[in-house]
Amino acid sequence: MRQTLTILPCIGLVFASVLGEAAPQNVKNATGVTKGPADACALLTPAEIEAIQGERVEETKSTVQPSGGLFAAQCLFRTPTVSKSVSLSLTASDPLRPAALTARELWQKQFHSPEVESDKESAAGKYVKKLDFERERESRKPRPIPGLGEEAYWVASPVASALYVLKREMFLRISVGSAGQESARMEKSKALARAALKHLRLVE
Amino acid sequence: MRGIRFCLWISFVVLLFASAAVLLVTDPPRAWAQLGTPPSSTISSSSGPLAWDFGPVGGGTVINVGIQDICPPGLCDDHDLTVVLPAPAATFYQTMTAKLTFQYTWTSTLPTDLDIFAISPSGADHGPGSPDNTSTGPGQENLTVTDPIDGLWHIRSVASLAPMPTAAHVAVTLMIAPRPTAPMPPPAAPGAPTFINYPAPDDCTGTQQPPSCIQPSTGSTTAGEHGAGEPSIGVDWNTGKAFIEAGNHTLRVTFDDSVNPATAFWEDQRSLFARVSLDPIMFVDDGHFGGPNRLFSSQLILVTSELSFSDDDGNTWLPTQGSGQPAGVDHQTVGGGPYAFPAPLTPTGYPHGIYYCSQDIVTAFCSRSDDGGTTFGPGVPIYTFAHVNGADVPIAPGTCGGLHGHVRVSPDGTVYVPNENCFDANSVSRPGVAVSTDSGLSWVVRTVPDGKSISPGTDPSVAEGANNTIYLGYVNSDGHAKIAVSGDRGLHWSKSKDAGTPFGVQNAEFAEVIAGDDERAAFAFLGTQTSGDTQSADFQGVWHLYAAFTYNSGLTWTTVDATPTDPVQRGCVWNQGGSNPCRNLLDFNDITVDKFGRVLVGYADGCTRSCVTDPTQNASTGPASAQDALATIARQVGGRGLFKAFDGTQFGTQSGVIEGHGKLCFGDPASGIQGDPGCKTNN
Repeated sequence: MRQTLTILPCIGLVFASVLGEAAPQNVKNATGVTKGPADACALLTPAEIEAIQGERVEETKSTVQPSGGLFAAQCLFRTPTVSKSVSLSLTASDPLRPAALTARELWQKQFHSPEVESDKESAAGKYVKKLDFERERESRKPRPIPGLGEEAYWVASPVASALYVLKREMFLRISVGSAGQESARMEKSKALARAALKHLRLVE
Repeated sequence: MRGIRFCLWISFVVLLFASAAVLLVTDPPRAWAQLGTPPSSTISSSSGPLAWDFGPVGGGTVINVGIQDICPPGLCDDHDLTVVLPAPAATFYQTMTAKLTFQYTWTSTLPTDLDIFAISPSGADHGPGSPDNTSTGPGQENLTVTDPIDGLWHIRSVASLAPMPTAAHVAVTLMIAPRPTAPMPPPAAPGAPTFINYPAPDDCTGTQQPPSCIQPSTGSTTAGEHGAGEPSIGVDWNTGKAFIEAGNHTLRVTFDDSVNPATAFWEDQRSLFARVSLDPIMFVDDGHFGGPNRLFSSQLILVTSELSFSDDDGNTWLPTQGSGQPAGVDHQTVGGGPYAFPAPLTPTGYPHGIYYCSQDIVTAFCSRSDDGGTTFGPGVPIYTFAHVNGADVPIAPGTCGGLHGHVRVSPDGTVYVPNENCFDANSVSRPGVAVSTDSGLSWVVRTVPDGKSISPGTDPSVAEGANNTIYLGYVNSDGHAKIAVSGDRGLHWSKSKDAGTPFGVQNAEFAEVIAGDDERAAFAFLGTQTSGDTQSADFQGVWHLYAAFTYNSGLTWTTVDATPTDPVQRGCVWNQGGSNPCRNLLDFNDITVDKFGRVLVGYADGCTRSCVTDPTQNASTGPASAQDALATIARQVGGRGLFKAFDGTQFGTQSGVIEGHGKLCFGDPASGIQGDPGCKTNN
């Protein structure tokens, strides 16, 4: 509990810092009563996108989904070729509502819950034998990526894989389009993640 | 003192939890405890109420891990109850109904939660009772089983949380009564929509030749037409050919409307890139909103996902860039339509955005293609969810859980992904849609205010009219087939209408919606007039395919039974994944419209051959004829379609005019527009 109480102001500071760099479009009012959420577009620069994707950023689209105890701040860096665009989302605990689910708890549920790591049980709690191919599908775990943040996973998809990176009480999700091979997409995502983490460090 | 007592209590609970855990991970006992008095009894409709005492149970598992099925001594106590009906259940419940009601009581001095479960002779779990909560002092749960089958039941007292071993008492009654007569369906009013069902023929064998059979393509699964759970359907508006995809088959169907009724010629046109698939999905970017009729086939296979497309009705296929690459967590849907204003410059001139939406670990996402599905953009999160106790659940307002339905795009470019389980601003779980008004760059979640999520869920379906009115069909928490209409992209909704009311439908599955003219839509669903737990192996319901039509923006709906003499399923329809015998139909059906406004529903028929007329057959127990999944198309042949321009032309064939001797062959009984009584329809 003491650790949580120590961490919460830090999260608030990080958010406040990110807010400082963010465009003011989401700030509700100037009184400071309700402070707007973070702008994920501040976590990567157009130059960084262009350096990795080879196309200039034509438009950034920032959205935030306040979700109870979480912020899910997203940015779509749109390039002229849509398959070279980049989606970045930052999920973090809401410093104003610290009692709700934290981003780290959500991470734990999704990447380390018993359901992910063993055979699932049905909603009724009764063991259900899976079809072989479903068992196969469930056995395909997110791929751990060492050396990024505290923990990172690559979740493969035929059209839009995503890299998840946990850092303190927040995590990043980076997705690039389907252009290129899977290995190339992963390397690009890792490079983008490193850049985003660097920006997070700068503002901490 | 209070603190010491609390510590003792906690220690005791921990000890009991540890005991339970040991019991679960070690070899479970071969026999369950029967410490109650008496250990067994028999109840019939003439025996009157019974009562017995359960022996003490303690400890607990808090969450339901199926301990009732193992019933280890100490945690659980068993009572064997034989249920005797006047006739075997399969025949008795055709005209009668019964309720087996348990009143389960106990007394405790510490916070305690005991649960009662009734396990049927076929192994179906019923319970826990209600209210399922923790109490101190007198505690009670009530459990009612509707239409219990005859035979030996195991009634079990289970400690969910019991710091002290606690005994319980049960009083049980069996009440039988004549089955209420379902409301008489409205007479088939002249002009009401009518359907003809086209089941896929079997594979050709020996010297057999099409069209009486299907010539399997190289690599196709044998008898794949009988493995057609969760089919997709589409129509090429240029050629009129229909496609139904399930398993690794893409079946092409050519209807010949020069004869009456039309005949169907079935061909296997599977993509060379398709293999045995987890989630087969097909989409035709048809001419409804100006698409070029490109046919997409998406297959998620064991280690990779394949997405291929065809511009010549499946004669040749091209892979997309995503094909052959690794696939993680997925539950994909493919759709497409016009771009929202301003449309982006696209490299190939393909007129529509193509969307691939799927789940990954933390979010569901959608990815857009600007080159007709060859390459895709990044996966943009459309909402967040979390795993809790094995289920994907929404975690806060604006988030959704579970699996989503099929992505659809309206003429103004708004993209919709329906979901059965989204949190509204008050954290109430309701059916809703993820909405993007900027061609998939950003998303919000909007919910239907008078809908409530059902658990376990079944996919809702959204469809868009020509002027962007949207129709969302869903199964409500009461099991009923509901549909709501919105004219402002889901910000506001009409009051939901119950499309099953005319037939007394009590439970529905697989909502599928398609729209045409802005004020016209069709809503297909599987429905049964039997109430009760559709997930139970004991469920006795008989399911039909219903289709409801509106011609006035959802103010009224005309509902018809599209399979009046041929059930689609007998018994349960399992929608919790896995390999339950009742999962033969898998998770959804599909619906589309051709260029004449004719509605086509693609569905898997779970009850074929002898099952059609044998009421004793059941999906939970078989035989195979009651566990089929035969690819079938219900094709509208009468009534008004979804395009006013073709009213009275019998979908362009003029056959209605011929049959009706020039009289009106279409109507809308629900809004008082009758077809001419002299007019016959094709059924």
